[in-house]
Amino acid sequence: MKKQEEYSDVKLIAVFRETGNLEVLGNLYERYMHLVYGVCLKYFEDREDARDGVNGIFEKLIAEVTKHEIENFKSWLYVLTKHYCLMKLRSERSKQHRQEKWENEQEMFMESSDVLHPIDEEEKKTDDALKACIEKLKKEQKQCIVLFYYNDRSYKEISDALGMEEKKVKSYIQNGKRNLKICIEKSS
Amino acid sequence: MSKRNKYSRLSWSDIFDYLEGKLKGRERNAIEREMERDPFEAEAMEGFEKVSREEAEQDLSQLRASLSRRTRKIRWVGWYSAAAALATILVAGTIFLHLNNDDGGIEKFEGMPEMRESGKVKELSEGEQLSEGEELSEVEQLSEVEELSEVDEQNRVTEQPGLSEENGESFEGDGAVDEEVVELAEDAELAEEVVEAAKEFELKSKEIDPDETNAEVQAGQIDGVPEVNLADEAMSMADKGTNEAERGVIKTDKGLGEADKGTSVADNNIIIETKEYAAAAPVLPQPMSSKSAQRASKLRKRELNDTEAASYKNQSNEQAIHPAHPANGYAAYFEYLDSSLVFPPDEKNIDSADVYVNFLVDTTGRPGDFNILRSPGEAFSKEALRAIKEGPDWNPAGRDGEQIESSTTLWVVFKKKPHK
Repeated sequence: MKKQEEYSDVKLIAVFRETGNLEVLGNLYERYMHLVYGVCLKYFEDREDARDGVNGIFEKLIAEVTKHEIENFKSWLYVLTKHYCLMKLRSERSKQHRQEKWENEQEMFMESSDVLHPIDEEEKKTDDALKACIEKLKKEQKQCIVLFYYNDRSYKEISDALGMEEKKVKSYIQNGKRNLKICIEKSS
Repeated sequence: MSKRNKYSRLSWSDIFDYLEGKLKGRERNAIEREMERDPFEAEAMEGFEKVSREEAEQDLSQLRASLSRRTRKIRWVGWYSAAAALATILVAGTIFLHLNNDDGGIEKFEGMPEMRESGKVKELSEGEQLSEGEELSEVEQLSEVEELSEVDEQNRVTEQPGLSEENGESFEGDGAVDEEVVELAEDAELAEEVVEAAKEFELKSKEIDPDETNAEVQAGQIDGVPEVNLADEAMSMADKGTNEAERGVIKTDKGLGEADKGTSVADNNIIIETKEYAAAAPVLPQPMSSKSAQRASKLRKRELNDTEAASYKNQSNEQAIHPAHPANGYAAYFEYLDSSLVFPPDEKNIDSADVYVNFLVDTTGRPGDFNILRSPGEAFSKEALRAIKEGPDWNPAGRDGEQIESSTTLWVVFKKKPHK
């Protein structure tokens, strides 16, 4: 007999659709509950609010899960979670600093998508177009990208070696990835 | 590679091991790569930075408990009437057995939960009622009928609070017991796989149910203690059980981590047998800022002097438009260095070292004209040069479609690594 952990997310959604057994959905939710909780903590900055959020998002999940075709549950749940948190924050307009945060995050929210950056996929990492684009990056971006992706160095190690803050390393990687994406799209 | 796959979905202990700085080097990188890949994980990590591991564990076990209450409550409402019916049968059957055989009755009764799990409870208890019933005298049968009706009354009494309170928890046991039977009854309708999957979700409750049912039946039989308390107790015990099981898992993870450390410590002591892991990255020629130089001086024995830094800079200005790079790509090149570099066996005082090597790549793609920019010692320099000289070809740099000689710099990293 298979263990329940072995069932894929998609399978569990199918089982839930057929049986309406909430425990199935609960089991699926539990796989990612710590992530939902983490994201809630990030936005609400309060443990109790975060716990309420996790419970609220499960209710939302029950309502939404049968309405959509879901191929990748994890990223779908991420969007659902983020949407919930941002809506919640927007409804608390009195808290001005949160509002500002929301506006900043909104931009990011729009950018998030299912499609992986090629450099994040092992099998595409050796792609010629990608490598050619890496060579075209600015020094710092290239250093950080290569050390991080091809030499398995942590942010900390890179920051020590190059004498820059970890924050800077992360932003070089971020910007480098964005430039890579543009470059790859241009070349194809 | 296997290490990386382990983190394809970050676990609880991964997250806090990372945040607490317990992971180093490649393991750390593996987590960070996963976060780059998946913004969900990255944002969750940002949230976890705000709490301690203990706080987060506390919150999550609370959340798991409320999730399981939430998902079971609904089911209980749906299956309620069937649950009451099954409970009646169970209680009646138990008392029946007890009456028939004073000594053996208890044994059989204790066996009930297992029989129930196999889904044959209904048939079995009914079957026994029939066969053993035949042997009863008329008087006994009469008294048994009385017992049954009493049981029915007890059941009715306990049903009421459940209905009015809509508590759900107090009838957790009933709901769980009954669901299996109902699901088995629906067996024919559901696809086989689906049923199998659904049954998997009963595993947890199965472990709890026998006790709960025992408690329930005993309560009804002995003195009619309200079921509510017992079922509640069983529930909270079950929750605790889950928490403890989880803690157990985390402990196991820690244990493994410590075992790993133990291995590496042991390996460090036997240096000759120790394999090294080392890799290199290209460091593009770049003048050292005073800040980075300061940092570097802390980490390394030797610092770049001004002359070297200057020549470094000049070379960077001559950098071609398409710089030289390993013919098979950097990834393959680093893999080669990883497997090729041997940690100098006499260097017992350090377990990692960086060597910066600048060299020319000629138009045929061979490296030459080596210049060690930084190294902790002769042994490391020699080994780094050996590896590069014996290593795979490079693709020469190109300018305007023409191949040219150019300089490049590699950051070769020596690290001891434990035996696999």
